[in-house]
Amino acid sequence: MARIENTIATAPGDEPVLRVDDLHMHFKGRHGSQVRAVDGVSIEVRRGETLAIVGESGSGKSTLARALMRLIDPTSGRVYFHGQDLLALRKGQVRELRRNIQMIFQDPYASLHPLQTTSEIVTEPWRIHRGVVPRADFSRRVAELLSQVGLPQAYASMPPARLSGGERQRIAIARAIGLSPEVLVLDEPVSALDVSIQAQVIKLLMRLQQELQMAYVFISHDLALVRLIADHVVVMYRGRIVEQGTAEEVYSRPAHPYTQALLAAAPSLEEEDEDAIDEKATDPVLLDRGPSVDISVGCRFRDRCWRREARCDTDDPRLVRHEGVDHDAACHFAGEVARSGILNNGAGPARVTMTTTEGGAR
Amino acid sequence: MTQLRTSDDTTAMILSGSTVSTSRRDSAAWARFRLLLRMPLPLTAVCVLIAFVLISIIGGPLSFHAANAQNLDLRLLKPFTLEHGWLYVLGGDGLGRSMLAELVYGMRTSLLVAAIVVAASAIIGGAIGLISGYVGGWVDTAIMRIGDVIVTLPSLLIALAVLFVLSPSMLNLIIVLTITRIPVYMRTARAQTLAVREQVFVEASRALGARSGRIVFHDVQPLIVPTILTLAMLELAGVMLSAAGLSFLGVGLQRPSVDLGTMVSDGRSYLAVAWWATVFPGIAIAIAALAANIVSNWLRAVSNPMTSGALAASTTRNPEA
Amino acid sequence: MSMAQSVGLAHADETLPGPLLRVSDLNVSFTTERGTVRAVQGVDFSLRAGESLALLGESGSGKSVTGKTILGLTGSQGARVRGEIVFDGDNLVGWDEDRLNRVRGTDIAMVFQDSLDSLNPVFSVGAQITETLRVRGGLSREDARARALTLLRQVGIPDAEQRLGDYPYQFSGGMRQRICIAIAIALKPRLLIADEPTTALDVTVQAGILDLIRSLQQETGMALIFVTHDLSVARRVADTVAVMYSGRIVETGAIRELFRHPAHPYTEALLRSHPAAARHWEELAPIGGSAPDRADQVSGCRFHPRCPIARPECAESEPALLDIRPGHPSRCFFAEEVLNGTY
Repeated sequence: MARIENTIATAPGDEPVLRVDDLHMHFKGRHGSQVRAVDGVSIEVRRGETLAIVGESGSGKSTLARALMRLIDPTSGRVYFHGQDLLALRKGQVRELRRNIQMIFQDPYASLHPLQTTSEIVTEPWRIHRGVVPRADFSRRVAELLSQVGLPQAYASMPPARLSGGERQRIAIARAIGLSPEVLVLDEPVSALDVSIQAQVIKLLMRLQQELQMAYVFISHDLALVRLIADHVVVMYRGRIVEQGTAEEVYSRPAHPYTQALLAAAPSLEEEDEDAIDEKATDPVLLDRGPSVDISVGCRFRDRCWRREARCDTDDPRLVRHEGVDHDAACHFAGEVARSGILNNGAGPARVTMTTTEGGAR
Repeated sequence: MTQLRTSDDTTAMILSGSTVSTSRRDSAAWARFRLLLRMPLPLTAVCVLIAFVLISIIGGPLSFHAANAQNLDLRLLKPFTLEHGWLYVLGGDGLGRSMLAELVYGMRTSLLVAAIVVAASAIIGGAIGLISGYVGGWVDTAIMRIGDVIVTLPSLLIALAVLFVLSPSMLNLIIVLTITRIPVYMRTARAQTLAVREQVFVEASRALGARSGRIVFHDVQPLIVPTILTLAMLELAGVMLSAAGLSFLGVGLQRPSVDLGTMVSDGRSYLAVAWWATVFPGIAIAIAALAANIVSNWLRAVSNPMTSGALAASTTRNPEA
Repeated sequence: MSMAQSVGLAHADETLPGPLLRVSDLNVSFTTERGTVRAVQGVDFSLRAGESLALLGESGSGKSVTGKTILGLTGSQGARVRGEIVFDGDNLVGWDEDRLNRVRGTDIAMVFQDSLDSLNPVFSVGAQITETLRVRGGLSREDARARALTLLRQVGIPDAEQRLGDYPYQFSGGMRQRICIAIAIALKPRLLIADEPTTALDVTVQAGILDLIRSLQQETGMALIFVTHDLSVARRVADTVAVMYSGRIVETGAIRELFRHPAHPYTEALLRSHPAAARHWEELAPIGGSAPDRADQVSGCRFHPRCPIARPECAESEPALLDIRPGHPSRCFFAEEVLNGTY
């Protein structure tokens, strides 16, 4: 079997670095039922680009992330890294693969070993994959990494126990980029952090992406945040993609009722935003239900959807390009939903921004 | 960020299982030592244990001869007189041997046997439990069932049977006791491993490409060792008592090896006329076991992040304004 | 106040002129292995009946501890509380468990972040609500059941009649939190403390809960203290906000006004670092550094090491919380400049 190689990049944006083809992840649930955590998802991401996977609990986004990294084995489907099928690899080759695809986890308090020092944590990848960095270079490389992620050198010998969430996440980032991976899968990397620290870490991540030209698979439920960093957006609901497109397309003309609900719920600090929200899209009685309907038949969002019709009970909408919509959506009435401009009267992404101080944005 | 975030943050962290130890390796030990100094009962217990160990180490070899030297003139000598020299200040036993020497040597032997049994069973049981818990599957099931079998058979009876057949000796005593104590460590290590195995940092190691062996011994093992150690302290008392019991029943050690159990047994016949021959070794066992128990309880309370804060607070003499 | 009385008596205090709750110079510290942690220092605020206050702060600000201390829930962790918490004329500080228990639920109630942990998994939801009503409220079984039904409807649980017998695990997170709210308001408390009740919920479900709390509050005239780290959540649910940093209140005021014209550098920096404030990640304006360890002493203003407008005075002494405009105090020597944007 061919070795995975750290291929020299072709021109950025040509071919996807990572491509997922019809991935399914089914678990055995209670009473012999089947839980379809990921139900036919296809995505791709290119060098230097950020693909955001947006969804809430139960959407399957975290399961998808783990399947990508082969931390769990998918039930069916394919994952291609530079055209090579990852799922056909043997265990030893999967280990090799780990050098190229790395992950940042959500909880910085849980993802670092409680008893190791920062230096031990950061050098872990080089100990596991011997030969990539010679032992003698360890401390020099650690110093470089620490400075790259903006941490003081003194932290190297400290255990992270005393550090804040933001600092820990930086350590996790330093650990992840230590092997210069081509793809970084980030599972809600800043959700557990304070808002002011989120901004720090996001800026760091994006700068690193520019420097190292990594492809990012950025998983989040925070649409306000995703808007700042994503090139492409994929919205997931109960295992399926319900809408996908460039960030511009999805934010300015959402074509699925769930996306609209998400956008409406995104943090906003301006009064106009609240008044502009059409009650229909955000009816809490509908939304509060939580996913409960049987998904084996019909549209899986129907019990929480304002646009529901009889057709939705039996006909599972496919992810296609609808008339009048410039990107894919899985809704029978996508065209109408997009046109309804429920959120912004077609005014574009400007809706979710704000200036807070009279002194003006700096 | 405080090291020990004692607001809801700590509770949340504990509930989410995200930290097993919240303090630096060095300063945690140091902080506990300082805490120990403020608590009289555990401090006394620790001192007692240390004293016993020192006496055993220093006095052990010296007392071996005297512990077995019979002097029929001095049999059943009453204690607390210096008439026959300081060696007999605690009296003599049924065959005129120095109680003092016997106590010292007996304590040494009891502690030694207990220490070896605890160390061996902790290491072996801990390792098996660790591997079993991490690997899971049928291997785990098989190992745990074997452990169950060992546990269901009454350990004392096993020991009695084996030693009766194999002839009592220190080595056999140690082997038998070790085998019967292994399942406790196995189960504890396995339970802890199961919890640690699900932690995100283990998943992170896997994501980095670490092999299972590395994860088990590099990531998981340091986290279960403290619990095993605490358990071992608790076991120490139990093992001492078990060994003493077996010796008392005559299947433990034989002369010239002396341990506190054999002393109690030897002195049993003279209980009416020379109570000290039984009571002194009995007291020695009790004190040692009690001290070990107190220390292990304290260790458990102090290792738990939720109770250690309250513990520290209750011992502060000068609350800050 | 007898138990039966406290169930019926809801609005008697609206006519009183004074505040319902007045917290003065509240200090809460914990002793840990590493020393004393001063979680809350010198906190003052007051609340009138029917008013809603958001305690806004990031982690380590002391907002949660403040909320819990009002109900005396921090004692088990070895906390030392000093200062005054005057509720309806009584100072709750120093009360023992028995006295506090009489206030809990009937006068002051609390809703927590984790609804799954707050509910007993082995009892049905109906049983948990009626238990409160019968034991503390003195209602008969039939009356309690009827009231439980009303409460479930009030908090927006569909098919309430059928769901009375369901168990907590049968509800989604949002529904469970509504049930917790129902239990909390069952005895018609005059003050509800909510500790990040929506943080663990999906975004699409949060709005419903916040609106519910808001409308319940307006219907019943209940006062509300809402602890949160989320600016937009605070804005949605509260009238006034007290911004906390490292154990202290740094600014208080009417929330919309404060967000538009903050008078403290921390508040301003917090608003500016919010993702909704930028169009592209390059525009994000994080606050440098991190919050000080609460076991450490910082000379002068707690925020000055990270403050964009720190001056030498800030390291020497800590500013007091002074009104910069009526009803809008700020803990900064240069609050006026921040307010006017002239620095």
